[in-house]
Amino acid sequence: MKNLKTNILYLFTVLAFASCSKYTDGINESPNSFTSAPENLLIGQANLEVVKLSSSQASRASGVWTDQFTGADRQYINLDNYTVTAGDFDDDWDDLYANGLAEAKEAELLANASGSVVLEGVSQIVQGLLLGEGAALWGDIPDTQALDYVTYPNPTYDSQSTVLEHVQTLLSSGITNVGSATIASAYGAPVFKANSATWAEVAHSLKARYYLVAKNYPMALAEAQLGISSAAGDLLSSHKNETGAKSMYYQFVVDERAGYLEASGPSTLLKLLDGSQARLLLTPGDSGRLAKYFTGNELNTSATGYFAVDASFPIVSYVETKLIEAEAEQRVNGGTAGLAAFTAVRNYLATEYGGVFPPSTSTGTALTNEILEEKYISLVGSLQVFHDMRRTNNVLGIPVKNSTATTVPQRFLYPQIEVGSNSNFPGVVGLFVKTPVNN
Amino acid sequence: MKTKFSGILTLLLALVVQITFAQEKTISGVISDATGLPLPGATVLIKGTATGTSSDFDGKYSIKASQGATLVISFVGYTTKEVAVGSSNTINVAMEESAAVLDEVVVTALGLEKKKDQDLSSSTTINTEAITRSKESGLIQGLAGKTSGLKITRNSGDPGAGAYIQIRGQNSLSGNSEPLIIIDGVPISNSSIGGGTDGVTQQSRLNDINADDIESLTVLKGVAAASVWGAGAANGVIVITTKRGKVGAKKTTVSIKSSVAIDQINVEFTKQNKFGQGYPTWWTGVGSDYSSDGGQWVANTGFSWGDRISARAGGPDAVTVGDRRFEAVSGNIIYPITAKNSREVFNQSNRDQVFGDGLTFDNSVGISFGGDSSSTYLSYSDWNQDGIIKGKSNYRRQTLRLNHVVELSDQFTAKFNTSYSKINSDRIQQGSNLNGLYLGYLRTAPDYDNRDYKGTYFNANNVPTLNSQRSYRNYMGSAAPAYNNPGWTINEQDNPNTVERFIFNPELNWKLNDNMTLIARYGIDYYTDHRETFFPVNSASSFSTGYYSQDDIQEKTENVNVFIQSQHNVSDDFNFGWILGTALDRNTYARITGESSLFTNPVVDDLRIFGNATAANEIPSSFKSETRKSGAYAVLNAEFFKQLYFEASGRLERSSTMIGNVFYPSASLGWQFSEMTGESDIFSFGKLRVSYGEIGITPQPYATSTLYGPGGILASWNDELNAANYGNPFTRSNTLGNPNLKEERVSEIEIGTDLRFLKNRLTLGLTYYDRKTVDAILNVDVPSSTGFNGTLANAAELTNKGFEADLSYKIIAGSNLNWSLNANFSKNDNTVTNLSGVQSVFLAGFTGTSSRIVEGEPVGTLWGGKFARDAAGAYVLDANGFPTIAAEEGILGDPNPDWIGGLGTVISYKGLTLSAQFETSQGNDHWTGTSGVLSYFGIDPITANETTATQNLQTYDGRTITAGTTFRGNIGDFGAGPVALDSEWYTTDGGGFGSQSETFVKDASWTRLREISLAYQLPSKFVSNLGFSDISFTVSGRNLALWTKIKGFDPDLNLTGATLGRGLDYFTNPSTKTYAFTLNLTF
Repeated sequence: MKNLKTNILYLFTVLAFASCSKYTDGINESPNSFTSAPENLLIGQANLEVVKLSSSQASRASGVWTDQFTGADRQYINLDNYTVTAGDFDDDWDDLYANGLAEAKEAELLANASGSVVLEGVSQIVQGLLLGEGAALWGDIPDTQALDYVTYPNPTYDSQSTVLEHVQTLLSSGITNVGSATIASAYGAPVFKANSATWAEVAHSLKARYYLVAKNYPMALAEAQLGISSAAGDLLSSHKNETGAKSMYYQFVVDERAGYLEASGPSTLLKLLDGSQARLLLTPGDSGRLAKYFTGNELNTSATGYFAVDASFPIVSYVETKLIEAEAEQRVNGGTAGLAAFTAVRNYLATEYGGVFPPSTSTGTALTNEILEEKYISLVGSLQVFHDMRRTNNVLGIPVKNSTATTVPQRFLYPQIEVGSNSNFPGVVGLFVKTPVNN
Repeated sequence: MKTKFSGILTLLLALVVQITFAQEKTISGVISDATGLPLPGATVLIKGTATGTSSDFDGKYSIKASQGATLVISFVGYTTKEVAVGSSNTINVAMEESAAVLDEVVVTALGLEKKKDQDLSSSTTINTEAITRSKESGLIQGLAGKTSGLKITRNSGDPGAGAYIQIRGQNSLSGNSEPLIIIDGVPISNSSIGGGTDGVTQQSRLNDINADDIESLTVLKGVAAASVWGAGAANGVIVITTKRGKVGAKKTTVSIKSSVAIDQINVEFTKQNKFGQGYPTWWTGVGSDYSSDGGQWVANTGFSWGDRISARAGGPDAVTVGDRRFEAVSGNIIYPITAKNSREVFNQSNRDQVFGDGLTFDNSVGISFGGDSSSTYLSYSDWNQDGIIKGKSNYRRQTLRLNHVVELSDQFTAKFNTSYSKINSDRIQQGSNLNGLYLGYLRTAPDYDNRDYKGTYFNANNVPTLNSQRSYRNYMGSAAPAYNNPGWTINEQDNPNTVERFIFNPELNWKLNDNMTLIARYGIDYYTDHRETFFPVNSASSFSTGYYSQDDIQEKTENVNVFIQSQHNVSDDFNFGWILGTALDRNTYARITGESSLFTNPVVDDLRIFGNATAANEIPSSFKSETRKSGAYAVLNAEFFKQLYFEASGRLERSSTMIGNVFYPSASLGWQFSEMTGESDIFSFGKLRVSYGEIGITPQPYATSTLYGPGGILASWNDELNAANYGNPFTRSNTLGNPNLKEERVSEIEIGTDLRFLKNRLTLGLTYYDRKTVDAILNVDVPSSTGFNGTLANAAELTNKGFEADLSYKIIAGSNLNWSLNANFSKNDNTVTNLSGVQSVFLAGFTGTSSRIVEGEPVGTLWGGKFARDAAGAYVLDANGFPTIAAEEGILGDPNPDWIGGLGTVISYKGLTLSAQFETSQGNDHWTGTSGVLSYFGIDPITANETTATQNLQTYDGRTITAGTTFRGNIGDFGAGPVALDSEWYTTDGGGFGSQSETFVKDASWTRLREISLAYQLPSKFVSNLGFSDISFTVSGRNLALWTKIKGFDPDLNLTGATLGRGLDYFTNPSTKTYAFTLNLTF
């Protein structure tokens, strides 16, 4: 029996050892990841989201719906005839907030805490851009309660106009903070091309853009005049012929989904460029630009093409800024107002593409429409064309591609992930319902 | 480890009473069954006295008795024997089974054997012969249909493909839903790493085990039975005991098995053969010929909506002979086609390019040896399989096992189980994958010949491009095609893997005294899995510039388990036993991956290296994790009046992945009421049992904090911006860390009965269970507008309620003729009862169609786009009379079966044995994604139907097909009268790329003849003359007949492998059937 007792004692020793918390505690810290990140690294992620939003699926959908492009194969046929569902917009919405705005906001807060003023400003400008596009695409979106899970696990939606006002505030603060910092030297490169663009000019152009979206033409005019002053100041994405660095159009059209996105049909943009559809403003010899955009019915992804593997994609450009200036000035002052800015663009295009880009001789609405047509052609693949089409009630007469629809799409659908998870989600809104600013 | 710790010991042990006789001496020996297997827990009593003892774990006993006394040896299920004590001090007793009682045993969670009659759980033991007879490459697949409550689904029909094991229902929503695997008392890994909508089929690590090594396999379905293992055992436990020789057998037995098997594809998709590659002329805005002859041949398009093949001019195609050409490896030269004249259809040759007969050689040898105080089992097996897919599809598994038991002294026995497995396999790309086999093969136009897939392309300037690929998407091979030619997929791409695995578990048994034993076990299971993926330059899609990856996975599972087992036989009417134990568990996992793309030298032949790309295109990544768990457990069992049984257990546990200790209790009660009612010719045995148990599932590691790391953007169409190319910016994880995570808790009430009738010939087991998981961990979607899109939270509740029945009936039991039948039935209702307000959670699949978790629905619910319906359920139609798409996605079906069942029979007459096993799964839905997409491309035969319009018909896009026109397609009616379902419908919402998928979710109920075999055992007289103890031949077939409404594929597979996402088919590699011949030799 003594033996037994010894054994039981032995067992309990083992038990004590086993339940010792030393064995299990303290090893649950990830050996694979960090638990924080410096602000200068976070802003780079937000910049990548800017490139993605500007040149990936959102851009392609805009291009298809504005008939710059044609959805020619499989799921893109549905996109072409507007049969989309909420789930199709999950990725764009999710990246906008969780992989863009969240990082920019955290970078802003950290930069503020550390006194890194320029970085704080850059973070504000990037937030302004992302939020501005979100409001333009979806209308009412979460803003004041967004990006604060602890306090607001179910953010409410702010009205589109309130969000656009906040965008202006963010951009104004950003401009104050960035001073004369350039994209190349201050938190822009290497995501953005290291040219002579400055954050301040870019921010003014963005202010002009979102005033235009809000139909505040006088302010759009004033800001456009402070915006990007030459093509060397464009905010451009940067790409290389390397895995994960290729232009996103190239990746989609060549690497991933050959045949999905074309200009077959042909698309309105192709017809305007090749002369098979009459231009509002006669532009003989736009063949250089046609060749740059398209090869036959297909997007030009060759080395010299607009969609080349290493071609930069314009996020916000001199051409856009000047065309905003032209349109806003025309709408504010009428007559031939805006012609100078418009002509500046036409002259620039002539040097860029060769050919003849005669200046307009129109006035009033005709001039406005010519400016819009030039913007439609110049800003290929840009979300701005989609915004313009809706803002102007489709004044250019871009064809409705679905035989039973009466209008072009008026927005992006709220995503399924938001429908399913946010108890403050205000309700499904149809594809053909205008966003509030366009009512 | 054999024991019978709750066995019926009918006398007080001689612990206290010490009666001394004059000529008393110590008698010792081994008590074994007729085959020499030791019987632990047998009672040895000196006749006419109260002096007695019981045999230990190895059947050994010792007792003091005088010469002339009589030992009475008894053991339940065996005829009691009396042996007189003579001059010898050694008395070995071989017990004979009593005919009336079944000897079915189950193995408990700790690997201890127990009579089924006294077991209080629903555990069932699967006949190992039935597993090896199945001719499945994997042990897991061999379990299918063999017992109730166990559902096995194959990943695919590829050689070595893994399978999904589900006991009862899904208990957890995060991560592993598979059971814990215990081999020889220690847990091993059954990882199945990978399993997405593309890539290759993954293996299951349990299949590394050689099924011929298995002595017994018990499935513990209930929570109470599994609870001593704590977290990890919540999805049930499969307890496997491997063979080891017989101590004292004093002979060597050699078993040799040699088998050859032929595999064939068991279900294939049908492709239309009437219309060629191309599309209607009006698609390009030319004309308005909407008839079936309105198609044109178009090179390189994905569609087969083209011209009528039989209406072509005939003869060879008109070509432009010039410098621009493709010189195939075969020597054939392909020139640009100017007119498609050929009426040839290549469906059959394209099929034969890809599929053939698979061939498997399965050889194994097992040697067992029993010495005086030791026994050894040594085995080697070699499974060498070439799959039904030609090219690089194979699986070779070699295993080596050495099990050794040695009795060091009366008190100590040591056991060593050691195994080594080596697996070499080549896999074929599948699924939603432009480089996948089925995608390229099935989409290929019927008038395109896939055979010349590789060669040299010369452009118009006669400049060659070596190793060019041509497929129907680029018939000149001028650049990488949009989809691979299947020949390229199976011959040029390469996906090898090598697994090497050691399992070593020593065990020490220390007999502390007559009724108390200490068992100490250690187990280590270590494997490395080396995977490579190679896409040569000119493969389709983003791999056109070449891609190579190497993926090294290491996993180590360690367990220390020490427990004391004790049995106390107090009186005839009361016995009790207890177990006290402690266990430490540790799992470490490490994975390192390197990827190389955009090869600088495009011609690499067999080289698989890094360095053939610039630094920016070579990307390394790594992941590692470690989890630990410590636990202490106790089990108490008691028996009253030989008919009432009680068992209680508890486990206290601490896990590294969460904070604090957790306790899992369980209790069971059983009443063998046949002791009271007595036996009759009709009613033989009856037992009622009820149990309650709780068990947990601990959180995954590192989920408690929010993580940061290199960012990057991956968009929904795989266009990406890689952080490494952009200054490596960091991103915050989209998953919010949750420091308050705690264990998921599964509780279960189980009620059952075990009955036998007709003198034990008819056995029936019935079990009802009601299981509930609370605090289930869920990656709860949080609105992305919060900056996160998910967080792990104890947010869900789910229930599984079910009923299981197992029946076996020995219809004829004669000396020459035997006929038996066994059947099982399982029904499980799984419901996610609470999802904390989250509408649905994605598990696997695609943006448009997925397998999800939805509140109020079963786990894995199929979900996707639907047609819009009004309040009355009618379609909301557009102006053309076609249905419109609902703004929100919704539920499409349930991939879980309503019930599953198995039915087997064995008939033997003298040396001939015929056995058959049927299996069924009823009420399970499947998304037939492949079919939908084949409609889109104009490949599905439904799209080649020609229909004459009886009236003017509207098309989806608003054209009118005038009455009398024969068009390609069908007439449909969605509620506004007949409409034309033509190419425009199938290429939009009527096809697989449309915005709805409800049309493609179908009832995939199936019934199959899982296996049938005929064995002949040569007469023993003849055999022994040859020096053998057994020679038998078996001819068998697997999966030979399938009854299902699903067309084109076998619904017993799943695209996303062994994941929680179920019921998806999208270009999944096909299933097989097998014909096999086996020779068994024993000497």
